[in-house]
Amino acid sequence: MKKMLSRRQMLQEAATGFGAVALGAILAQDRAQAAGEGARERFYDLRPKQPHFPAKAKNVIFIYIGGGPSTIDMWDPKPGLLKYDGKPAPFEIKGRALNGSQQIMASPWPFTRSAQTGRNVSNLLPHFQKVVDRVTFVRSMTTDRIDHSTAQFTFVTGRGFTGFPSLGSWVGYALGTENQNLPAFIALGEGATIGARAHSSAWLPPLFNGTSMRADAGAPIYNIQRPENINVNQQAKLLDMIKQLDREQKAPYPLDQDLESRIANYELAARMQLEALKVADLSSESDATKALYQLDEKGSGGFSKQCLLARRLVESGVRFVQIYGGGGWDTHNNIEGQLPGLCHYIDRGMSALITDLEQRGLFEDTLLVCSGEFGRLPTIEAKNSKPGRDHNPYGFSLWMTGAGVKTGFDYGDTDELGYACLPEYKLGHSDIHATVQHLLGIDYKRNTYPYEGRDESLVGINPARVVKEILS
Amino acid sequence: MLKRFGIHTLSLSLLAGSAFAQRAPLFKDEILPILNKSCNQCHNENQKMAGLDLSTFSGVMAGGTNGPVIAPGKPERSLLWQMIESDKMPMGGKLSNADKQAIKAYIEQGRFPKEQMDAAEAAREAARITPEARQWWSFQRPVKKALAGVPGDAALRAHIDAFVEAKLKEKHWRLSPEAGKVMLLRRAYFDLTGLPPTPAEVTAFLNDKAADAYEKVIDRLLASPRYGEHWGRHWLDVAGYSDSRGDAGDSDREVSWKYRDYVIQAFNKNKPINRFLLEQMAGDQLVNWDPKKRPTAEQVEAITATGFLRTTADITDNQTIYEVDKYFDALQKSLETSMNSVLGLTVGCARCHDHKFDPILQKDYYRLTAIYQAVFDPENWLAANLKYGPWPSRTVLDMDPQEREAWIKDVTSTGYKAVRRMEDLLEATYQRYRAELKAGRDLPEARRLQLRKDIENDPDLDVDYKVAKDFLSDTEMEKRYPELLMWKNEIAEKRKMRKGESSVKPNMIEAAWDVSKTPSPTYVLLRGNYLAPGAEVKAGIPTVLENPAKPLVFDDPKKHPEWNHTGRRLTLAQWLVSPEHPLTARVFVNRVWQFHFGEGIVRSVDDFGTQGSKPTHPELLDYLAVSFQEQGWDLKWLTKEIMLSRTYRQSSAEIAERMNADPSNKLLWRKAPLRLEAETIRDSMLKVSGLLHDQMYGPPEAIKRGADGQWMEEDKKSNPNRRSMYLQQGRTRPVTFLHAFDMPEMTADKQSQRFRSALPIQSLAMMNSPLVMRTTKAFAQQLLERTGGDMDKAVNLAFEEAYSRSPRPAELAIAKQAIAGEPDAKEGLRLFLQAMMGANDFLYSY
Repeated sequence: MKKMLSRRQMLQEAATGFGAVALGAILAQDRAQAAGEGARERFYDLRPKQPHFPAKAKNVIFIYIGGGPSTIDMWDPKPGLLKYDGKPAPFEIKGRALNGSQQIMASPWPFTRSAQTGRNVSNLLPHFQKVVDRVTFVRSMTTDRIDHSTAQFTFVTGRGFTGFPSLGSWVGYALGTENQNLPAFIALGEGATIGARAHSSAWLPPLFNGTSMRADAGAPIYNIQRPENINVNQQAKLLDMIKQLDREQKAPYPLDQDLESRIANYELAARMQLEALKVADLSSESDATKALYQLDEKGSGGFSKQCLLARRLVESGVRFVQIYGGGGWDTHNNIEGQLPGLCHYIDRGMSALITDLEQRGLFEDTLLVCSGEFGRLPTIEAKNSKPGRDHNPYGFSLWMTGAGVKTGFDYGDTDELGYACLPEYKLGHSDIHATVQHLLGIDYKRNTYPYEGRDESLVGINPARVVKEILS
Repeated sequence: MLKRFGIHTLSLSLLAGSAFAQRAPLFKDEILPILNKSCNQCHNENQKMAGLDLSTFSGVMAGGTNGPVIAPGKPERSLLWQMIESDKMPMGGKLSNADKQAIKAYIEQGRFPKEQMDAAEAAREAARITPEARQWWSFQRPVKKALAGVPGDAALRAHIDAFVEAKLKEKHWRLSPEAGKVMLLRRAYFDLTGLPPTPAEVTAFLNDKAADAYEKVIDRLLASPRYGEHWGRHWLDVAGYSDSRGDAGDSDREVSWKYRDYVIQAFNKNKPINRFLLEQMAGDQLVNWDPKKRPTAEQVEAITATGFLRTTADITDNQTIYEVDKYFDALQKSLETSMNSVLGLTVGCARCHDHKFDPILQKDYYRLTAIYQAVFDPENWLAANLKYGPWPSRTVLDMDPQEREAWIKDVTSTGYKAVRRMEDLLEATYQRYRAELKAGRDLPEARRLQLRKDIENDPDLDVDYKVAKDFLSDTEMEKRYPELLMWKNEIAEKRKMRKGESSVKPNMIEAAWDVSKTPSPTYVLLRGNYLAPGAEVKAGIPTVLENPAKPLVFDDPKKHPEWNHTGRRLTLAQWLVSPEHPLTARVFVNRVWQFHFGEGIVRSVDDFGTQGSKPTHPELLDYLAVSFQEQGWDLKWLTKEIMLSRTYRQSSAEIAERMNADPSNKLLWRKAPLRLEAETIRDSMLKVSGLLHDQMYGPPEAIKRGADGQWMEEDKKSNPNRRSMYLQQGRTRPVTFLHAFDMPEMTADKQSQRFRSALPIQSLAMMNSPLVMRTTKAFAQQLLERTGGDMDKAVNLAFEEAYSRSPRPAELAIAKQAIAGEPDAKEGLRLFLQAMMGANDFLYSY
C-alpha cells in the first residue's frame, strides 16, 4: 500500500517539471507471476537502484564475438604450436566435427611483443598491439558447450538452452539505469547465431529486454524516426492531441496509474526520439575522435561506428551495451584467408574504444569485456582443402579492462598448445557473470527473480566465484 | 543407453590389484573411518548437508535430497561414487586413491539388504511426502458446495455472484453497479472476439430493449468464427506456440500452423475440454494410429492435436556428435511445459533433485519422463528439422501410399538432393557476399572463389532462407556477380528437367507419436546430468497425487498386441481429465477466469503448488471446476455463465476507498480496466480502418524487415491485413509492433499470462510505425468516402467506429482544431485519427 501511495505521489509530481521524466520509468508491472502467499504486487521500473555493495563499475560495454574467434591466432600465442607445427599433437585433441585431425598448425601470422607488459599480439591486430598493455587477459576460459548455439546461450544467459534472460537484462533488473530517456540495455549490430535471444529478457519483465539499436543516425531504433510525410509541427500536434484526448478519457479513472503512465510515455517517447537520434548522430564528434575511429575505413568502419556509439551510450548513462562482433568467425576452413579480414573488422574499433574511454576518463565507471563463446583448436580441420580450426571449449581467452579491473594483468593459462586450460585456473562463464555483477556492486547470489517456483538467478546452480585475482 | 553415450563401465574391472578385489570392505571398520575423516564434518546426524547423514549405515542407506547415494553393485550409478570419483566431493579436497577404491569396492560388493534399501527409500519419500504435504489445498478433490441461501439448482452465474458478494460483505462492500451498455458491449466483443463492435452492432444492441439483449449478444459472439481465433490465441500462449523451432538459425516449423488451426477449430466447435486435452496429450494413442500407415480422415484431427507436445524449442539438428544433451533438453522442455499447462505444477524443479518446496520427488520427475520418452527417445531420435526425411520422421505424411512413395522417392533421390544442396550453397553465398559487403570488404573474383569454397567445406552450414535482403536485393547482387545468376539458372534448369520440386505435393502433419512400443529405459538422472544415470524408473505420476489405495496402472503394451503405441501418454491424459483429478479442471477454469478478469482466482496461474498464490475465492474456484466437469467440460457454457454474472458485468468505475484498500482488486469489487493484448490492438486498427481481412487458417503470412529494420507484414507476396495470429511468429523474429505490446517471443516456451506493460516503445509505435500510418490513412479515406467528404460526419463516424460512441464536446473541439489547422484537411483528419488510436480509449477494455 505504501508503495502505491508513493507511486501516486510521484505521478502527481510528474504533472510538472522533472518528474515527467522519472514517470516514464514506471513502465511495467507484474502482478500475476509473483509467487508466494497472496498476490504480492511487484512494480518494476528503470530508475537507478542502490547496488548491494559499493560498485567499482557503473556500466558495461560487452563486445561479443559470436562464432568462436581463434584466440590462439589473435592474442594468445603458444610456443608449442611452432614446436609441433605440422606434426601430430603430443596428446589427444578432442575435436567436434567429423573431419578434424591431430595435426598441429602454428599460427600463420607473426606476433609482436608489446612495450610494457611484453605480451604478444598477432600482426593481424596492429591497433590492438598498441593498447594491449591496458587490458587484462583471462587465459583459462572454458565452457561446457561445444556447439555455437548452446555455447552462445551459455555465455550470455548461463544456460546452454534458449529461454533464459541475458546478462544485460539481469544487470538492468538489478540496477536500473541513469538515463531515463534511453533503454537500460542496448544491443548493437549482429553476429550471434542465436540472434536476438542473445539480448533477450526471456521471462524477466519486458522492461529489461535488450533494445536493438543500429549505428544509423537516421533510424537507430525501431519506430524512432518520424515518418517522412509528417513534419515536426504535426508530430507535436499529434502528441498534444493524444494528451488532450487522454486527459479527457482518463477523467472517470483519476486513480488509475497505468493510464497515467501511458500518457507520460508519449512525452518520454518524444524525448527518447530526440535523445536516441542525438546519440546516434556521430557527426558531432571531434575530428580527433573521428580520426581515431576512422569511421569510413573499408572493412572496419561499420564496427568502429558501433564502438563509438557504445561510448556515446555509456556516456549518456546507458547501463549495459552489447556489441556483436559480426559474422564469419567460425573459421573451420581457410583460416588463413578469413581471419585477416575478421581481425581487421574489429581491430580499429575496439582499440579506438579503449583509447577513447581512457582519454575521457570513462574507465572510472565503465567496464569493457571482449569474448567469444569459445576459441579454436590448435589442430587442423579440413585437411584436404585450405585448413581451418575446429571449436575449442576447453581453453580460450578473453580480455577485460576498465573500471575495477587490473591493468596489464594475465590470469591463468592453457597447456603449451593452447588446447586445454590448466585445471588450477579453470574459469567458466558463470565465473565471469559473477565477476561482472560483482564489479557493478551486485551480489550475484542475491540478484534473483521468482520464476516457476524458484528464485532464479543468472548464475543459478552453476558453481561460480568472483575472480578476485583480476580485480584492481 | 549407456553404451551409445559412451559411458563405459570398463573401468570397474580395473580394480585388480586392489586389496578389495577378493572381498567386500566392512562398513564399520573400513568405510566409516574414511567417511568420518573426509565427509562427516558436513554430512553428519546434526548438520545433514544436502539432507545426507554419512555417519551411520542407515544414514548412508537413506540417501539425501538428491536421492539415494548408493546403487548396490553399481558404483557408476551411485551418487556417492560419482561425487568422489570426480573430486567434486569432499569439498575443497579429494580422497586418496586407496580410499576411493575402498568405497568403490564397498558399493560393488557390500551387502545392502534389499528390504533395508527399500525401507530406507520409503522413509526418505515419506519424509518428503508427509501427510501434511498431501493435505495441500490443490491436491484435494474440489468440492462443490453452494452458499447458504443460493439454491443448488440456480444457474452458475448466481453462485459466482454469491461467492464474490460473500467476500465483499466481510468488508461491508457490495458489487459495483452494472456497466453502461456500451462499455459492456465493447467488453464482450473484446473478450470473445478480440475485435470492437461495428457502429451498426452498437446501435442494434442499444435499441434492443429485451431483457435478454445482452445474453443474445453473448450467444452470437460465441458462435462467431472470431471467437475461436481469439480464444485459440489464448491457448496458444499456454501451449507455447511458435512457427519456428528455436534452434541455432531458428528455422521454420513447416506445418506448425496445422496445430494452430486445430486449436481455433476446437474452440469454435466447442470441443469438450477434456477431449481437447486428451487429444493434445495423446491424440495418436486415442485413435490408435499406426505410424506405418496413413492416418484415416478420422485420425487426422487427433494426430494434429499432438502438435501441442512439439511447440517447445528443439535445437537438435543431427549435425554434430554432441547431440545427446539436446535430446534430453527437448524431451524435458516438452514434459515440463505440457505438465505446467495442464497440471499447473512446476515439475521442472525436480529435474535435478527432489522439489525444494513442493512434495515432488526427483523420481516422480523421471517417472513422468518415462511417459514422454516413447516420443522423445534419446536412443531413437527423430530430429527436428528433417523436412525431407528419412522417414518415419516427426512430420507425418498424410498422403495416399502411392503418392507418398513417389514423393519420398523424389525428395530422397540423389538428383533432387543435389539440387537442394545447390540451392543451399547458393543461398549461403548470397548471404556471405552480403555480409562481406556490409562489413565493407571488397569482393574480387579470387576472394569470391575462396568464399564459395569455404562455404562448400563448412560442416556447420546452416542456411536460413528468411534472412533479410534489405542490404542488397538478389537482383542487384546478380548484376554485380554474374556467377550467382548462372548458378541460379543452372538450378532452375535442373529443376525443370525434374519437372519442379516433385510431381507430388506433400501433405505433412507435425505430430508426437511413440517411436516404438518398447522405448529405451528411463533412469533417474543424478543431479539432472544425463551422463549420470541412476536407478531405472517406470512410467508413473507424482507420488503425492497417487491414490495409495488405487495406484495408476500403466499397462504393459505387450499385453495389448492391438496397440500401436505404449499407451503411456493416454493413461496419463485419462488420469488428468478423470473426475477425481484435483488439479486439471481447476487449473483450466482458473485460466478462463484470468482471460476475462486479467487475474486468476489463483493469481499464479501456472503454479498451484506451495510456492504459488492461494486462491482469493477457493470455494468459487471449486464450484466452477466441478460444475464445469458436470457440464461435460463445456467451455462456451462456462464462458457464458461467467459473462452473465453480475460480477463480470460490473462497472469499472473507481471507488477511492476501495482503490486504497484493495488496489489490485482481489475481492472483485469492480471489473478492472485492462490494456488490450497486442493482437487485439493491431486487429482493431485494421478493423476500424476497413482493412481487416478475415480469411482463416493456413500457412502463416510472411513478414519482412522494414526500412528501419523492424519486422513487419510482407505486403507484396502475402496478405498484410489478416489477423495478427496468422502472421508468422518466429522466436527470433517477432513482429516489432506486436512485440512492443508484449506479444511473447516464446523464448521461454510458454507465456500463459501476458505482460501488460506500459513502455515508451509502445508510444513510438503509435507515433511512427508503418502500421499506424497505413491504417489511419485508409481509415480517413474510408470515412470521407462514406460521408461524402463531410468532415463533421466523418469525425462522428470515426468515434463510432473506434470508440463505439459519439464524441464528447471537448473531443470534438480537438478534432475540429486539428482539421482546421492543416492545409490538407484530409491529412488533418488522419492525424486526428492517429491521436484517437494512440489514446487510452482505443487501447483499453474498460
